[in-house]
Amino acid sequence: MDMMQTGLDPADFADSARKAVAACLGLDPAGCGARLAEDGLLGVLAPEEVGGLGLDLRFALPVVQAAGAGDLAFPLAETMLMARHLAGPAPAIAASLAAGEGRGTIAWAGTARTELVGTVGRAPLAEGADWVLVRLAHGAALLPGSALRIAKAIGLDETAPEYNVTLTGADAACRLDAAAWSALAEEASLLRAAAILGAAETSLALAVEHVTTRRQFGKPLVANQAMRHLLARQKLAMEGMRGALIRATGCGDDAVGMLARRAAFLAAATHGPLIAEASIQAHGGMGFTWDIPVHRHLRRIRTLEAQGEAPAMREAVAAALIDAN
Amino acid sequence: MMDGMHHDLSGEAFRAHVRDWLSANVPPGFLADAPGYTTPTLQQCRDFEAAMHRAGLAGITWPRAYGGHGRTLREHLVANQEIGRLALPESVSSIGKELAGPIILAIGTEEQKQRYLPAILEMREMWCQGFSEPEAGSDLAGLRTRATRDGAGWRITGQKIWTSGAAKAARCLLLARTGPLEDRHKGLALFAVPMDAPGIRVRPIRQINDKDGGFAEVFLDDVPVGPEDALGAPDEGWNAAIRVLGIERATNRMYRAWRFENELRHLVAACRQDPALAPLLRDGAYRQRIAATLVDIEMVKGNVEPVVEALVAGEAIGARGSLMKLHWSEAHQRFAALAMEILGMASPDAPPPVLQAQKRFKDIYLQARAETIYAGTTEIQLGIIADRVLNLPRGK
Ligand SMILES: Cc1cc2nc3c(=O)[nH]c(=O)nc-3n(C[C@H](O)[C@H](O)[C@H](O)COP(=O)(O)OP(=O)(O)OC[C@H]3O[C@@H](n4cnc5c(N)ncnc54)[C@H](O)[C@@H]3O)c2cc1C
Repeated sequence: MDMMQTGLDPADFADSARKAVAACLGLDPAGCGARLAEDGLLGVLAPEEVGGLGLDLRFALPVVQAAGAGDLAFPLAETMLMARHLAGPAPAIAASLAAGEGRGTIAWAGTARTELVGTVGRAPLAEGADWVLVRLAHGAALLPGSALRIAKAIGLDETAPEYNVTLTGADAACRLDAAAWSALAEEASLLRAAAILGAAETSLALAVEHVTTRRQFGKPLVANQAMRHLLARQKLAMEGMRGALIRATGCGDDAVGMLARRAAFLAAATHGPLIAEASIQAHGGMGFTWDIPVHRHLRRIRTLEAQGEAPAMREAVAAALIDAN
Repeated sequence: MMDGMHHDLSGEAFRAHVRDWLSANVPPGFLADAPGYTTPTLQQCRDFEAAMHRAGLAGITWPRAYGGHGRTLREHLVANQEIGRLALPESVSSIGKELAGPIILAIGTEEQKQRYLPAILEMREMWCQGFSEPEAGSDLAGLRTRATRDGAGWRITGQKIWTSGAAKAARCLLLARTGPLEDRHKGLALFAVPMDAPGIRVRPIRQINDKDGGFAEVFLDDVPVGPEDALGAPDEGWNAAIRVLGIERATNRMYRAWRFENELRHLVAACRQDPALAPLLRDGAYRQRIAATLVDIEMVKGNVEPVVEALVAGEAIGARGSLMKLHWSEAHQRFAALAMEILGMASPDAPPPVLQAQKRFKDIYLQARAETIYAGTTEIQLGIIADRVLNLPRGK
């Protein structure tokens, strides 16, 4: 949908998303879902028939970016994508997800067997979820949470922990074909780039705050060129990530656009973790404490990098270039 | 399409015009990634660049009154994307076309625009940039070359260094001091000094890449400069110089990202030609690094395109040129090192296309050393980003 048609601007969503994310602090996933749905944020991408806003990805990016910035304890990108892509095959479920009533998530790692057995992983906040989408060799299957064995995985993210999900042969509520799954996966990787950007922005802001207030050798840390250059490097990387993401959203559906979208995720996956790590370094011992939240952003960023399978994405990017030359 | 008929084209039609013109008019042997390549001579480059201008591929945004084509910066980007896709030689007049020209358009008098600009586009006059001095590199505001009043005109005495292309230049965009040294960036003035004026001596400096016509020392001994060659007001020099540097970092050689991509494609294609290199294209570790290069290139594109939009919307370039310059220069160095590493594993009896690639990438690798030095070093860019993009307090 066109901005001219709707009169909407993606930037407007950034503001309400920031407020909603702040209001979610301390709420459990069900509470977060209800709060986010109040502002229509879960249905940004879902078609109007299931109660969504039917907007394109550009409107979801600032929302997910705000979620990354605020370390939101809710599988926001997963819910948005499920509400969009399940609207055809399972409209009632899509509607309940967009309304913040049903809870869904996606297992990003591994492939279940067609007869719906096997274990898949990297499903954020799967415990207590009503629905989990799992990848198959061709497409994906939606399974009721009650029919799955769900176990917490060894993961970095403590706010939105990842779970392993074991299928027990129960029937799928619906399936997505391969084309629908790959569309969903491609959108997911841009949303991840936005979430990483948000988390990196907060990390850098915290570092700037720290070096301007903490004093050593009789002056603020920021008086030292080494610290100024360290932070300038992080800013450089962050603006590069942002530029790649903006560029990707303006590209078409051809090979150029495909490369731009993959590069947007890879730029974030490459530089995002380094920004959060540098922020910890700039904090000194403070950076190693539980209370300073930079580690939470680092945990989130590293988890998103893994969910997006950055090395496999790099391989795909290289393959496309090498095969064409 | 014939010369002169390109004015009504827009968007994709303009892109098609640029593409078609280049494929029909690039002289044989000009493309560094094609068979039969020989380093073009200065004269061949001048002739080709003059033809590019006639065809609407240079002076794109300059007003038609001064020989330009009166198009938008978006079209300048489109043309540069197409120019970048081909392994063409670097412009031999980018200082004139991309630094002197825009600043003359901004602060020159009508008479100066008429006199300087068409000569730049028609490749009759090349320019050099006389900013750096032995005592004033990163600390440009410490420059000592002095301009003193002589009737209505000026007399200039001092020394410039690292002046690229000084030996072939007809004019020098020269920054000189009109007030005392303690005034730092106040009391600086910009001049368009004719390089054949009495009292100018150019001494070439041998560069690490042994390139002909590289940088030089320029000695100025009581050089007379008429009032018609003073650019802007006598105290406007610093602001004008900052603008020049902004352009140099942000919009100069806008084809960079696309040329960078051409270089990467050339590297891959060359690897295919050598039994010792082809397996590297199947090696997972090299594939990851090739992908990382592509991501870097996409980030260069993602940096330049919004700047074009911002400038079209009337915003100033400001400090974001530092983000752009720092990213591409370092990304290009990373890539050049990768190319050297890969091509260093070529067979001793590698076929001609591989030898040609080795030669091209040796030049690129050496040239890339300069990219983190000129137009403000990496450390200076980091300082600007800290001060003016992050707005960090000084912390005193
Ligand atoms: C190939 C090439 C072409 C050039 N062409 C031109 C030209 O046409 N016209 C022109 O006017 N100039 C030209 N230059 C000059 C260029 O602009 C200067 O070399 C550059 O500004 C650096 O100045 P410098 O060489 O005096 O190095 P210096 O300023 O002495 O710097 C030396 C090192 O110290 C670092 N440094 C300096 N100050 C600081 C600081 N405050 N904090 C931390 N580190 C610092 C620098 O980053 C650098 O690593 C060219 C240079 C090259 C390499």
